[in-house]
Formats: sequence, C-alpha cells, structure tokens
Amino acid sequence: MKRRSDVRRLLRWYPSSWRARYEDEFLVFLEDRLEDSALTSRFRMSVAVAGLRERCYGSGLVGARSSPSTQRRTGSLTVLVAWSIMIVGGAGLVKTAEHFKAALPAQSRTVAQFAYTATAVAGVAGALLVIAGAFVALPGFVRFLRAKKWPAVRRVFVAPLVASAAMIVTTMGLSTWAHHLTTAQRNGADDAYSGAFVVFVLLAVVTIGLWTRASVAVASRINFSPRELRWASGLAIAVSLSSILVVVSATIWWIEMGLHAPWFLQGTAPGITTSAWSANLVVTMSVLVLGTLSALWGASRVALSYRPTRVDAR
Amino acid sequence: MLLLTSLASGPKHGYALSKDVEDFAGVTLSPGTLYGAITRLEELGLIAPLEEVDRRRPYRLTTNGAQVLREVTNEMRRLADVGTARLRLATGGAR
Repeated sequence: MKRRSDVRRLLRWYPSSWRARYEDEFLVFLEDRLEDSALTSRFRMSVAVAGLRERCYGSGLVGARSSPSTQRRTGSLTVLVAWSIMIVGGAGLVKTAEHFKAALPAQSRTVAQFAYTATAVAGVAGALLVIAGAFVALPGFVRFLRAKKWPAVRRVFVAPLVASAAMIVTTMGLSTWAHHLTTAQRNGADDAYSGAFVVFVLLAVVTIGLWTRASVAVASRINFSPRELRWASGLAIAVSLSSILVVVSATIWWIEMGLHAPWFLQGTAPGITTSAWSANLVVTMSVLVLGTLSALWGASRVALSYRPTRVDAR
Repeated sequence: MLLLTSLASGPKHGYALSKDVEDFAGVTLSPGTLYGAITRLEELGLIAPLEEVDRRRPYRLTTNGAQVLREVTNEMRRLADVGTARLRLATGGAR
C-alpha cells in the first residue's frame, strides 16, 4: 500500500494534463514492472526525468508539439525567468563594481567606464521592457480576475508576500546596523554583519524567485489575445538582446579592470599584482551568462513559433 | 519503431509491450521512455487505445501506423540489401 502511494507520488513529476490521460494505466504498468522488487533511486530518477521531459514538451519549452501560441507564451515566460536571473547577477555586479573608477588610473578609465555605463543602460532598458511586458499582460490579467480564476493561484502569492515582508524587516534591520559600523566593518571586517548580509542576499534571491514563480503561475493561466502575444513576443526578443548587451559590456569591463586594476577585483591593496579571476566576479558572470542563455532559449522559441508551417509555405 | 513492430502482431498493454520489445530486440525500455513513446505515437495517430482490461489499457496499430511501419521497414530492407550487395562486392574485390 505504501509502495503504491510512493509510485503515485512519483507521477507528480508529470503535468496534470498527461496524468489525467495516462495516470491509471501508467500506475498499473509501474506496479507490473516492479512486481516485488524495491523502488530504486534509479527507477525514481528515470520516472522523474521522463515526467519533466513531458512537462517541457507540454508547455512548449522544447519540441514542436504544442501550438504556436503556447510556444510564444512559454518562450516569453522563459525570458521573464531569465530576467530574474539577470537581476541577481546584475546586483552582484553592482556590488562588485562599487567605486571602481577610483581604482583605475585616470588614463585607463574611458573603456571601463563606457563598458560599465553600457551594462547599466542595457540593464535599465531590459527592466523597462519587462515592465512594458507586465502592462501588455494587464488586460489579460483583468480578464482573468473577472473570470473569477484568482482562487486558483491565490496560494502561490502567500510565499512571495511573506518573503517580501521578511525582506523589508531585514533591510531595515541591516541598514540600522550598518549605520553603527565603520566602512571596513561593513566590507567584511565584522563577521556577524557579513553573515547577516549573506542571509539578506539569499533572502533577496529567494524573494525574486518566488515572485517570478507567482507571475509565471498567473501568466500561464491567462488567455492572451494574438495581439497581446505578438507584443509579448517582441518584448521578449528585445529583453534577450539587452541581456546579451549586459554580458558583453560586463565582460569588457571585467577585462579592463583585469588589465588596469586587478587588485580591485580581488579586494587587495592597490598595486599588488594579482589575478583578475576573482571568485565573486566568476560567480556573478556565470549567473549573467546563465540568464542570457535562458533568455536566448526563450526568445528562440518565440521566434521559431512565427516560422511559416509547411502548409503556409506552399 | 520498436513499439509499432510489437503492435504489428496484435494489441498489447504497456507491460506486454515492454516485455515483447525486450524479447525480440533485446532492448529494455524504461517506464518513462515507453510511456513517452506511447504518448507521442498516440498523438501522431499511429497507435490507438482500446478499452481497458483489468485496469490495463491495450493499444493497437492504426492504419496510418501500419503504413508508416511498412514504409520504414521497406526502406530499411532496401538499405540492408544495398549494404549486403556492396559488402559482397568488396569481399569479392579483395580476393
């Protein structure tokens, strides 16, 4: 009995539409297949991977099984998720680059400064495009509320609201604490403050993730008009382009800093010869690259959904 | 292909399909792979579900499925014939 419930729990990896059609017979198949043998982790993994694959196909994230409108919506939402990853990476970059101009010799500032400004401009442009996307989704959201579908997603908003409240309290507490510390203490000399700052960063990442999840949960249930989807698609492609610009200009900034002030990146005393491969920056750039690749994947799904079908091409 | 070949000898449910494929092809399909393939083939209209028997749902090959299987096996046979002929030629030439 316990094993049957274990097997049934495994099926949660599959999308509900798939479960509605295949769950019963798949359960019987799994029971036949297992007979009296144990439910191994390999078996669990195999079912979980297949379930996730089915989710990816069903949502239009991969393959061409889903309708073009589903692919457009999923592609746009993938870009939204990618942008939330970019926010995390961007915040890391802003923190790392604080006061970088002062570390550079006057004659070597131009390129680094230009690259950093380009990163900031691309970041702001991307953020504005995402906000524009929210406005595009607004009429659909109103229709969603009028159709009394809110109860279906209400629970998804509890966690981000709680996380946001915790963020506000933590930010207030941390800034009050910071006012009583010296610059050196704020920048790593005080272990307790550093630990609290790490918790704050983690909380910020979790909050962003929870809000993104809630947005995706709502947007996945909205029936967008073809015109709204066209707008969302265009914005998604533009956001992915701004993500590319962020990564390219941030890389140029990194190279310039590595050439002219690598000690700044490592946080050591000025003039010390050191590597430009600072752990913080490697992690930050990896996050930005991950965000950009995800955005490109989403944008490519959107773009490919506008390909003429074979029938149209004739 | 493996599932279409298996269903060519008559309707089968999931477990019977996996056992049959294991017998004639020596391939063990994982549960996810098997049901992923069943989902795809059903969507393409190459197989169709029948009424459940003892909680197990058998599938049958559709006319389209049979046609696809015929075309693919013909193509494979043609390639196998070409390969065999060329190998014979190459072996003859080496002598």
